[in-house]
Amino acid sequence: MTFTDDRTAVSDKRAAEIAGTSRHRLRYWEKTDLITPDVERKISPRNIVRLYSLARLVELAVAAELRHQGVSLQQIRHILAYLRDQGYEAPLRELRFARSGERVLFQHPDGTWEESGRPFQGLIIQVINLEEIRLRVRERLGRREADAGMIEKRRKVQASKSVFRGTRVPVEAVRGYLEAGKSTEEILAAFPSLTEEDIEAVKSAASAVA
Amino acid sequence: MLERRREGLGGADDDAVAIYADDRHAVLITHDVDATRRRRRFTFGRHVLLRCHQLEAVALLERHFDEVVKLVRLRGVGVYEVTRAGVTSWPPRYEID
Repeated sequence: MTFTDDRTAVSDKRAAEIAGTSRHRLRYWEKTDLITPDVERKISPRNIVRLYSLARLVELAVAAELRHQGVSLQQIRHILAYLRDQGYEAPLRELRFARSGERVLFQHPDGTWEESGRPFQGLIIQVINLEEIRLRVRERLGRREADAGMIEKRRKVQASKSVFRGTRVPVEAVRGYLEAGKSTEEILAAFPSLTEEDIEAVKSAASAVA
Repeated sequence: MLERRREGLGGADDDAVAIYADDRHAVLITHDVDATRRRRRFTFGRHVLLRCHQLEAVALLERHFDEVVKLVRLRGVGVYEVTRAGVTSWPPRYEID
């Protein structure tokens, strides 16, 4: 089976972390139709699941970066509306954006820079590097290195049993593999999101009990 | 499989994983009794609960694979429980908390 980017999805909480913004802000962007989740499903009156794809995550990260650079939401909305009128479906991930003083510019695929309706010639101070953002988003999708060897319990994950932090793998499952005499390599092959530190954590806990 | 690479749902809760699977018309295969119980109360998507040790999962599913596929195709949305004895299907229910 080949995994491609279109299989990627994260919850709103993770999306906010990855994009470098807050969940509250994502909710506001959704409410005002700036960037909406790819999937939104109400399971109960209090539980709405929102999922963001990799493409949408890049858009969120670019919008967050623009906001971080002091561009107002109103400006972003205005530019996006203009670019959509120009035929761009997802301008935030299709074009490069930059700032020159208070002005926000974007670069068309032919290399020309524009400031909403006016060709731009001047000094560009700060360019938002789209490739860098894509790379950063991809890197943040993975499990954090600091989570290796850490065990936790989370509500609504494997019946609140102990799992390895940043995964949904129950500690109990790895314990079962160890009790069946499986090697660390065999366990890592069965659970590729785990690391040797995770297996060591289970072994240490077992020897401490014994 | 969601754990396999960087699909992003590694740390997600049960509901997010269930919605993800349903959105892709995938069948969610799990050992998680608690999550499956919630889906039996408020059903969406197709869930196969394996009642066995993790290490026996492949063998158990292989043994009942044809029956599971047949039932899932026939009944669609619902929960399917697989034990050594066979497959039980639970029709959809929509009880809201």
